[in-house]
Amino acid sequence: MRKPTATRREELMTAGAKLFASRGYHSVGVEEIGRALGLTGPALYRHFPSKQALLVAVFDRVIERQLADVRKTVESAKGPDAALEALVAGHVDFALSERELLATWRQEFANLSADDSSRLRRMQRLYVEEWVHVLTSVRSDLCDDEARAVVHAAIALLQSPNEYNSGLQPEVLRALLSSMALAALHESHSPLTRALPIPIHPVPVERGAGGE
Amino acid sequence: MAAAEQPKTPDAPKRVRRRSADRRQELLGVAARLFASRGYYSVTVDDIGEALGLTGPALYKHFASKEALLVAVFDAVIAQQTERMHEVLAGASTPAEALPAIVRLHLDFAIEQRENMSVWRQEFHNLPEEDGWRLRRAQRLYVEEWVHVVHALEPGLSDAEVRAVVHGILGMLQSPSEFLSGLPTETLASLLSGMALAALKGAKPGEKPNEQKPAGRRKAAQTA
Repeated sequence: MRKPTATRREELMTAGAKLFASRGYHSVGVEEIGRALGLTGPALYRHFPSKQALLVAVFDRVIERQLADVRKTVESAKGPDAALEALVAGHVDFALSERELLATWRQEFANLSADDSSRLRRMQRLYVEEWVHVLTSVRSDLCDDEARAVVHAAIALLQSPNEYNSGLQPEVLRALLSSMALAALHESHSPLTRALPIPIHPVPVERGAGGE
Repeated sequence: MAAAEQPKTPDAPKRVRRRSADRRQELLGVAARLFASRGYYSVTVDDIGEALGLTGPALYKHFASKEALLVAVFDAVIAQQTERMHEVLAGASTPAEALPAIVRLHLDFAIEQRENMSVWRQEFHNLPEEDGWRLRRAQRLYVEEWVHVVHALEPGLSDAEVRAVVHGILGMLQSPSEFLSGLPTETLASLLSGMALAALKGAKPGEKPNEQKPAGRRKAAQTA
Protein backbone atom coordinates (compact mmCIF):
# COMPACT_ATOMS: atom_id res chain seq x y z
CA MET A 1 0.00 0.00 0.00
CA ARG A 2 1.21 3.51 -0.73
CA LYS A 3 1.98 5.81 2.19
CA PRO A 4 -0.59 8.63 2.61
CA THR A 5 1.94 11.38 1.76
CA ALA A 6 2.85 9.70 -1.53
CA THR A 7 -0.83 9.44 -2.48
CA ARG A 8 -1.50 13.11 -1.69
CA ARG A 9 1.55 14.13 -3.67
CA GLU A 10 0.37 12.08 -6.66
CA GLU A 11 -3.12 13.57 -6.36
CA LEU A 12 -1.72 17.09 -6.37
CA MET A 13 0.31 16.28 -9.45
CA THR A 14 -2.73 14.91 -11.25
CA ALA A 15 -4.85 17.91 -10.23
CA GLY A 16 -2.09 20.31 -11.26
CA ALA A 17 -1.58 18.60 -14.62
CA LYS A 18 -5.33 18.79 -15.33
CA LEU A 19 -5.49 22.49 -14.49
CA PHE A 20 -2.36 23.30 -16.51
CA ALA A 21 -3.88 21.45 -19.47
CA SER A 22 -7.16 23.33 -19.38
CA ARG A 23 -5.95 26.81 -18.47
CA GLY A 24 -2.23 26.97 -19.22
CA TYR A 25 0.53 26.64 -16.68
CA HIS A 26 0.91 30.37 -15.99
CA SER A 27 -2.76 31.08 -15.33
CA VAL A 28 -3.05 28.46 -12.63
CA GLY A 29 -2.46 29.61 -9.06
CA VAL A 30 -0.90 27.42 -6.41
CA GLU A 31 -3.95 27.63 -4.07
CA GLU A 32 -6.22 26.47 -6.90
CA ILE A 33 -4.38 23.19 -7.17
CA GLY A 34 -4.92 22.47 -3.48
CA ARG A 35 -8.53 23.65 -3.69
CA ALA A 36 -9.18 21.16 -6.50
CA LEU A 37 -8.63 18.48 -3.85
CA GLY A 38 -10.69 20.26 -1.22
CA LEU A 39 -7.59 21.48 0.59
CA THR A 40 -7.25 25.00 1.96
CA GLY A 41 -4.38 27.42 1.95
CA PRO A 42 -1.11 26.67 0.24
CA ALA A 43 -1.49 22.90 0.72
CA LEU A 44 0.80 22.39 -2.24
CA TYR A 45 3.83 23.71 -0.36
CA ARG A 46 3.71 20.80 2.07
CA HIS A 47 4.68 18.57 -0.86
CA PHE A 48 6.38 20.81 -3.41
CA PRO A 49 8.62 23.85 -2.90
CA SER A 50 6.97 25.63 -5.84
CA LYS A 51 4.51 25.36 -8.73
CA GLN A 52 7.45 24.71 -11.01
CA ALA A 53 8.57 21.82 -8.82
CA LEU A 54 5.12 20.29 -9.26
CA LEU A 55 5.37 20.78 -13.03
CA VAL A 56 8.78 19.10 -13.06
CA ALA A 57 7.35 16.19 -11.05
CA VAL A 58 4.58 15.86 -13.63
CA PHE A 59 7.16 15.87 -16.44
CA ASP A 60 9.18 13.23 -14.60
CA ARG A 61 6.15 11.02 -14.09
CA VAL A 62 5.07 11.24 -17.72
CA ILE A 63 8.45 10.60 -19.23
CA GLU A 64 9.20 7.74 -16.82
CA ARG A 65 5.91 6.14 -17.82
CA GLN A 66 6.69 6.57 -21.53
CA LEU A 67 10.15 5.11 -21.06
CA ALA A 68 8.73 2.08 -19.22
CA ASP A 69 6.10 1.58 -21.95
CA VAL A 70 8.66 1.76 -24.70
CA ARG A 71 10.95 -0.71 -22.97
CA LYS A 72 8.06 -3.16 -22.59
CA THR A 73 7.11 -2.65 -26.25
CA VAL A 74 10.61 -3.30 -27.51
CA GLU A 75 11.12 -6.35 -25.26
CA SER A 76 7.81 -7.99 -26.17
CA ALA A 77 7.58 -7.15 -29.89
CA LYS A 78 7.72 -9.87 -32.51
CA GLY A 79 10.57 -8.38 -34.51
CA PRO A 80 11.74 -4.87 -35.41
CA ASP A 81 8.98 -4.06 -37.90
CA ALA A 82 6.27 -4.81 -35.33
CA ALA A 83 8.28 -2.93 -32.71
CA LEU A 84 8.49 0.14 -34.91
CA GLU A 85 4.74 0.12 -35.55
CA ALA A 86 4.11 -0.25 -31.83
CA LEU A 87 6.50 2.60 -31.01
CA VAL A 88 4.70 4.87 -33.45
CA ALA A 89 1.29 3.87 -32.09
CA GLY A 90 2.44 4.41 -28.52
CA HIS A 91 3.90 7.80 -29.26
CA VAL A 92 0.96 9.11 -31.24
CA ASP A 93 -1.34 8.12 -28.38
CA PHE A 94 0.96 9.90 -25.98
CA ALA A 95 1.26 13.00 -28.17
CA LEU A 96 -2.50 13.33 -28.61
CA SER A 97 -3.42 12.71 -24.99
CA GLU A 98 -0.68 14.94 -23.53
CA ARG A 99 -0.89 17.77 -26.05
CA GLU A 100 -1.03 20.55 -23.49
CA LEU A 101 1.74 19.08 -21.38
CA LEU A 102 3.98 18.87 -24.42
CA ALA A 103 3.17 22.49 -25.25
CA THR A 104 4.04 23.47 -21.68
CA TRP A 105 7.30 21.49 -21.94
CA ARG A 106 8.30 23.46 -25.02
CA GLN A 107 7.62 26.75 -23.32
CA GLU A 108 8.95 26.06 -19.86
CA PHE A 109 11.86 23.69 -20.42
CA ALA A 110 14.41 26.47 -20.71
CA ASN A 111 13.29 27.88 -17.33
CA LEU A 112 14.02 24.70 -15.42
CA SER A 113 17.06 24.30 -13.17
CA ALA A 114 20.18 22.71 -14.65
CA ASP A 115 19.61 19.56 -12.56
CA ASP A 116 16.00 19.14 -13.60
CA SER A 117 16.58 19.80 -17.29
CA SER A 118 19.60 17.50 -17.30
CA ARG A 119 17.64 14.66 -15.73
CA LEU A 120 14.71 15.08 -18.10
CA ARG A 121 17.03 15.37 -21.11
CA ARG A 122 18.71 12.13 -20.12
CA MET A 123 15.38 10.31 -20.02
CA GLN A 124 14.49 11.79 -23.39
CA ARG A 125 17.77 10.46 -24.79
CA LEU A 126 17.10 6.99 -23.44
CA TYR A 127 13.64 7.09 -25.00
CA VAL A 128 15.05 8.11 -28.37
CA GLU A 129 17.74 5.42 -28.19
CA GLU A 130 15.11 2.70 -27.91
CA TRP A 131 13.68 3.97 -31.18
CA VAL A 132 17.14 4.23 -32.77
CA HIS A 133 17.90 0.64 -31.78
CA VAL A 134 14.72 -0.59 -33.45
CA LEU A 135 15.11 1.60 -36.53
CA THR A 136 18.67 0.55 -37.26
CA SER A 137 17.43 -3.07 -37.40
CA VAL A 138 14.80 -2.07 -39.95
CA ARG A 139 16.98 0.32 -41.98
CA SER A 140 20.41 -1.02 -42.94
CA ASP A 141 21.03 2.08 -45.07
CA LEU A 142 21.27 4.38 -42.02
CA CYS A 143 24.17 4.92 -39.68
CA ASP A 144 23.36 5.67 -36.03
CA ASP A 145 23.51 9.45 -36.37
CA GLU A 146 21.26 9.36 -39.40
CA ALA A 147 18.83 7.05 -37.61
CA ARG A 148 18.73 9.46 -34.68
CA ALA A 149 17.92 12.40 -36.94
CA VAL A 150 15.20 10.32 -38.61
CA VAL A 151 13.72 9.36 -35.23
CA HIS A 152 13.65 12.99 -34.06
CA ALA A 153 11.94 13.97 -37.28
CA ALA A 154 9.31 11.24 -36.92
CA ILE A 155 8.66 12.18 -33.31
CA ALA A 156 8.34 15.85 -34.29
CA LEU A 157 5.78 14.84 -36.92
CA LEU A 158 3.77 12.91 -34.33
CA GLN A 159 3.91 15.88 -31.97
CA SER A 160 2.96 18.47 -34.59
CA PRO A 161 -0.58 18.82 -33.17
CA ASN A 162 0.84 20.44 -30.07
CA GLU A 163 1.86 23.47 -32.09
CA TYR A 164 -0.89 23.51 -34.67
CA ASN A 165 -4.53 22.62 -34.34
CA SER A 166 -6.16 21.26 -37.49
CA GLY A 167 -9.43 20.53 -35.68
CA LEU A 168 -9.51 16.94 -36.91
CA GLN A 169 -11.19 14.22 -34.87
CA PRO A 170 -8.62 12.32 -32.78
CA GLU A 171 -9.21 8.97 -34.54
CA VAL A 172 -8.64 10.45 -37.98
CA LEU A 173 -5.63 12.42 -36.79
CA ARG A 174 -4.15 9.36 -35.13
CA ALA A 175 -4.47 7.31 -38.35
CA LEU A 176 -3.09 10.14 -40.46
CA LEU A 177 -0.06 10.79 -38.28
CA SER A 178 0.73 7.09 -37.80
CA SER A 179 0.57 6.35 -41.51
CA MET A 180 2.73 9.37 -42.30
CA ALA A 181 5.32 8.52 -39.65
CA LEU A 182 5.61 4.87 -40.72
CA ALA A 183 5.94 5.82 -44.39
CA ALA A 184 8.62 8.36 -43.50
CA LEU A 185 10.51 5.92 -41.24
CA HIS A 186 10.60 3.29 -43.97
CA GLU A 187 11.62 5.61 -46.77
CA SER A 188 15.09 4.66 -47.94
CA HIS A 189 17.71 7.34 -48.21
CA SER A 190 17.01 9.06 -51.52
CA PRO A 191 19.29 11.20 -53.69
CA LEU A 192 19.58 14.91 -53.03
CA THR A 193 16.50 16.96 -53.61
CA ARG A 194 17.66 20.24 -55.05
CA ALA A 195 15.65 23.42 -54.87
CA LEU A 196 14.40 24.45 -58.30
CA PRO A 197 16.39 27.26 -59.86
CA ILE A 198 14.30 30.44 -60.17
CA PRO A 199 13.67 30.97 -63.92
CA ILE A 200 14.08 34.35 -65.58
CA HIS A 201 10.50 34.29 -66.80
CA PRO A 202 8.39 32.83 -64.00
CA VAL A 203 5.55 30.56 -65.05
CA PRO A 204 2.39 30.70 -62.90
CA VAL A 205 1.73 27.57 -60.83
CA GLU A 206 -1.00 25.50 -62.44
CA ARG A 207 -3.82 25.40 -59.89
CA GLY A 208 -4.87 21.76 -59.57
CA ALA A 209 -8.37 20.36 -60.03
CA GLY A 210 -10.90 20.93 -57.29
CA GLY A 211 -10.32 24.51 -56.15
CA GLU A 212 -12.07 25.93 -53.06
CA MET B 1 26.55 60.41 -38.89
CA ALA B 2 26.65 64.08 -39.95
CA ALA B 3 25.24 66.54 -37.45
CA ALA B 4 22.44 69.01 -38.26
CA GLU B 5 23.82 70.18 -41.57
CA GLN B 6 20.50 69.78 -43.32
CA PRO B 7 19.70 72.67 -45.63
CA LYS B 8 16.19 73.99 -45.18
CA THR B 9 14.86 72.62 -48.46
CA PRO B 10 11.51 70.84 -48.95
CA ASP B 11 13.58 67.64 -49.38
CA ALA B 12 14.96 67.70 -45.85
CA PRO B 13 12.11 65.95 -43.95
CA LYS B 14 12.04 63.13 -46.53
CA ARG B 15 15.81 62.66 -46.23
CA VAL B 16 15.55 62.55 -42.44
CA ARG B 17 12.76 59.98 -42.67
CA ARG B 18 14.80 57.86 -45.04
CA ARG B 19 17.87 58.03 -42.79
CA SER B 20 15.68 57.07 -39.86
CA ALA B 21 14.23 54.11 -41.75
CA ASP B 22 17.74 53.02 -42.81
CA ARG B 23 18.90 53.28 -39.24
CA ARG B 24 15.97 51.15 -38.10
CA GLN B 25 16.85 48.53 -40.72
CA GLU B 26 20.48 48.57 -39.64
CA LEU B 27 19.50 48.02 -36.01
CA LEU B 28 17.24 45.19 -37.02
CA GLY B 29 20.00 43.59 -39.05
CA VAL B 30 22.47 43.82 -36.18
CA ALA B 31 19.91 42.47 -33.71
CA ALA B 32 19.13 39.50 -35.95
CA ARG B 33 22.81 38.75 -36.37
CA LEU B 34 23.62 38.99 -32.66
CA PHE B 35 20.58 36.96 -31.59
CA ALA B 36 21.65 34.23 -34.00
CA SER B 37 25.31 34.20 -33.06
CA ARG B 38 25.18 34.80 -29.30
CA GLY B 39 21.70 33.61 -28.45
CA TYR B 40 18.79 35.95 -27.78
CA TYR B 41 19.05 35.74 -24.01
CA SER B 42 22.72 36.72 -23.88
CA VAL B 43 22.33 39.83 -26.01
CA THR B 44 21.54 43.19 -24.40
CA VAL B 45 20.06 46.24 -26.09
CA ASP B 46 23.32 48.04 -25.37
CA ASP B 47 25.23 45.36 -27.30
CA ILE B 48 23.05 46.08 -30.29
CA GLY B 49 23.40 49.84 -30.03
CA GLU B 50 27.14 49.57 -29.47
CA ALA B 51 27.59 47.81 -32.81
CA LEU B 52 26.28 50.98 -34.47
CA GLY B 53 27.63 53.52 -32.02
CA LEU B 54 24.18 54.29 -30.64
CA THR B 55 23.15 54.67 -27.04
CA GLY B 56 20.06 55.58 -25.02
CA PRO B 57 17.42 57.75 -26.68
CA ALA B 58 18.97 57.40 -30.15
CA LEU B 59 18.41 53.66 -29.85
CA TYR B 60 15.07 53.65 -28.08
CA LYS B 61 13.66 56.06 -30.64
CA HIS B 62 13.57 53.10 -33.01
CA PHE B 63 12.77 50.22 -30.68
CA ALA B 64 11.28 50.53 -27.22
CA SER B 65 12.81 47.31 -25.91
CA LYS B 66 14.68 44.14 -26.74
CA GLU B 67 11.34 42.42 -27.07
CA ALA B 68 10.27 44.95 -29.70
CA LEU B 69 13.43 44.09 -31.62
CA LEU B 70 12.61 40.41 -31.35
CA VAL B 71 9.11 41.00 -32.70
CA ALA B 72 10.57 42.99 -35.59
CA VAL B 73 13.04 40.18 -36.31
CA PHE B 74 10.21 37.65 -36.31
CA ASP B 75 8.16 39.86 -38.64
CA ALA B 76 11.07 40.24 -41.04
CA VAL B 77 11.98 36.54 -41.01
CA ILE B 78 8.44 35.37 -41.77
CA ALA B 79 8.03 38.00 -44.47
CA GLN B 80 11.28 36.95 -46.11
CA GLN B 81 10.39 33.26 -46.01
CA THR B 82 6.95 33.96 -47.45
CA GLU B 83 8.54 35.95 -50.26
CA ARG B 84 10.95 33.11 -51.01
CA MET B 85 8.01 30.71 -51.02
CA HIS B 86 6.21 32.89 -53.57
CA GLU B 87 9.31 32.95 -55.77
CA VAL B 88 9.63 29.18 -55.64
CA LEU B 89 5.95 28.70 -56.43
CA ALA B 90 6.21 31.12 -59.33
CA GLY B 91 9.12 29.12 -60.68
CA ALA B 92 7.32 25.77 -60.57
CA SER B 93 4.95 24.89 -63.37
CA THR B 94 3.00 22.22 -61.48
CA PRO B 95 2.25 21.44 -57.84
CA ALA B 96 4.26 18.21 -58.22
CA GLU B 97 7.26 20.31 -59.19
CA ALA B 98 6.61 22.81 -56.41
CA LEU B 99 6.52 20.26 -53.62
CA PRO B 100 10.18 19.18 -53.40
CA ALA B 101 11.20 22.81 -53.77
CA ILE B 102 9.07 24.08 -50.89
CA VAL B 103 10.17 21.11 -48.79
CA ARG B 104 13.80 22.08 -49.34
CA LEU B 105 12.97 25.74 -48.73
CA HIS B 106 11.39 25.01 -45.36
CA LEU B 107 14.18 22.71 -44.30
CA ASP B 108 16.83 25.32 -45.13
CA PHE B 109 14.72 27.84 -43.22
CA ALA B 110 14.59 25.63 -40.14
CA ILE B 111 18.35 25.18 -40.13
CA GLU B 112 19.06 28.87 -40.76
CA GLN B 113 16.52 30.04 -38.17
CA ARG B 114 17.38 27.56 -35.44
CA GLU B 115 17.95 30.16 -32.74
CA ASN B 116 14.90 32.24 -33.66
CA MET B 117 12.70 29.17 -33.67
CA SER B 118 13.95 28.23 -30.24
CA VAL B 119 13.23 31.72 -28.92
CA TRP B 120 9.80 31.71 -30.60
CA ARG B 121 8.90 28.51 -28.75
CA GLN B 122 9.77 30.07 -25.42
CA GLU B 123 8.68 33.65 -25.92
CA PHE B 124 5.71 33.61 -28.26
CA HIS B 125 3.13 33.35 -25.50
CA ASN B 126 4.74 36.33 -23.72
CA LEU B 127 4.50 38.71 -26.65
CA PRO B 128 2.03 41.60 -26.62
CA GLU B 129 -1.34 40.44 -27.95
CA GLU B 130 -1.34 42.49 -31.13
CA ASP B 131 2.13 41.32 -32.09
CA GLY B 132 1.21 37.70 -31.41
CA TRP B 133 -1.94 38.14 -33.45
CA ARG B 134 -0.09 39.62 -36.40
CA LEU B 135 2.64 36.95 -36.34
CA ARG B 136 0.07 34.15 -36.10
CA ARG B 137 -1.70 35.56 -39.12
CA ALA B 138 1.55 35.68 -41.13
CA GLN B 139 2.27 32.09 -40.08
CA ARG B 140 -1.22 31.02 -41.13
CA LEU B 141 -0.84 32.56 -44.57
CA TYR B 142 2.48 30.75 -45.09
CA VAL B 143 0.86 27.46 -44.08
CA GLU B 144 -2.02 28.08 -46.50
CA GLU B 145 0.42 28.23 -49.42
CA TRP B 146 1.49 24.74 -48.44
CA VAL B 147 -2.11 23.63 -48.08
CA HIS B 148 -2.83 24.85 -51.59
CA VAL B 149 -0.01 22.80 -53.09
CA VAL B 150 -0.76 19.67 -51.08
CA HIS B 151 -4.49 19.87 -51.73
CA ALA B 152 -3.81 19.85 -55.48
CA LEU B 153 -1.69 16.71 -55.04
CA GLU B 154 -4.08 14.92 -52.68
CA PRO B 155 -7.61 15.81 -53.78
CA GLY B 156 -9.01 12.84 -51.83
CA LEU B 157 -8.16 14.47 -48.50
CA SER B 158 -10.50 16.92 -46.81
CA ASP B 159 -9.34 20.45 -46.11
CA ALA B 160 -8.69 19.73 -42.44
CA GLU B 161 -6.82 16.52 -43.32
CA VAL B 162 -4.60 18.39 -45.77
CA ARG B 163 -3.85 20.97 -43.10
CA ALA B 164 -2.97 18.28 -40.56
CA VAL B 165 -0.68 16.65 -43.14
CA VAL B 166 1.02 20.00 -43.77
CA HIS B 167 1.45 20.62 -40.03
CA GLY B 168 3.03 17.19 -39.71
CA ILE B 169 5.45 17.81 -42.55
CA LEU B 170 6.40 21.26 -41.28
CA GLY B 171 6.91 19.86 -37.78
CA MET B 172 9.14 17.16 -39.19
CA LEU B 173 11.18 19.58 -41.30
CA GLN B 174 11.65 21.78 -38.23
CA SER B 175 13.13 19.00 -36.12
CA PRO B 176 16.71 20.13 -36.92
CA SER B 177 15.93 23.36 -35.11
CA GLU B 178 15.42 21.38 -31.88
CA PHE B 179 17.89 18.55 -32.32
CA LEU B 180 21.46 19.03 -33.48
CA SER B 181 22.32 15.78 -35.21
CA GLY B 182 25.77 16.91 -36.28
CA LEU B 183 25.08 15.52 -39.73
CA PRO B 184 26.29 17.52 -42.73
CA THR B 185 23.50 19.75 -44.05
CA GLU B 186 23.21 17.98 -47.38
CA THR B 187 22.84 14.57 -45.72
CA LEU B 188 20.19 15.95 -43.39
CA ALA B 189 18.42 17.68 -46.28
CA SER B 190 18.40 14.52 -48.31
CA LEU B 191 17.08 12.43 -45.40
CA LEU B 192 14.36 14.80 -44.31
CA SER B 193 13.24 15.70 -47.83
CA GLY B 194 12.82 12.02 -48.57
CA MET B 195 10.88 11.56 -45.36
CA ALA B 196 8.60 14.52 -46.08
CA LEU B 197 7.72 13.31 -49.58
CA ALA B 198 7.16 9.77 -48.30
CA ALA B 199 5.00 11.04 -45.44
CA LEU B 200 2.79 12.89 -47.85
CA LYS B 201 2.40 9.89 -50.14
CA GLY B 202 1.74 7.62 -47.18
CA ALA B 203 -0.84 9.81 -45.46
CA LYS B 204 -4.01 7.80 -44.84
CA PRO B 205 -6.77 9.34 -42.73
CA GLY B 206 -8.31 5.96 -41.90
CA GLU B 207 -12.03 5.43 -41.37
CA LYS B 208 -14.13 7.96 -39.52
CA PRO B 209 -15.28 6.87 -36.02
CA ASN B 210 -18.91 6.32 -37.03
CA GLU B 211 -18.07 4.21 -40.06
CA GLN B 212 -18.23 0.44 -39.74
CA LYS B 213 -15.39 -0.88 -41.87
CA PRO B 214 -12.95 -3.77 -41.48
CA ALA B 215 -10.05 -2.43 -39.45
CA GLY B 216 -7.01 -3.47 -41.51
CA ARG B 217 -4.25 -0.87 -41.20
CA ARG B 218 -5.59 0.76 -38.05
CA LYS B 219 -5.61 -2.55 -36.13
CA ALA B 220 -2.05 -3.26 -37.23
CA ALA B 221 -0.93 0.04 -35.77
CA GLN B 222 -2.41 -0.52 -32.31
CA THR B 223 -0.09 -1.34 -29.41
CA ALA B 224 0.26 -5.02 -28.57
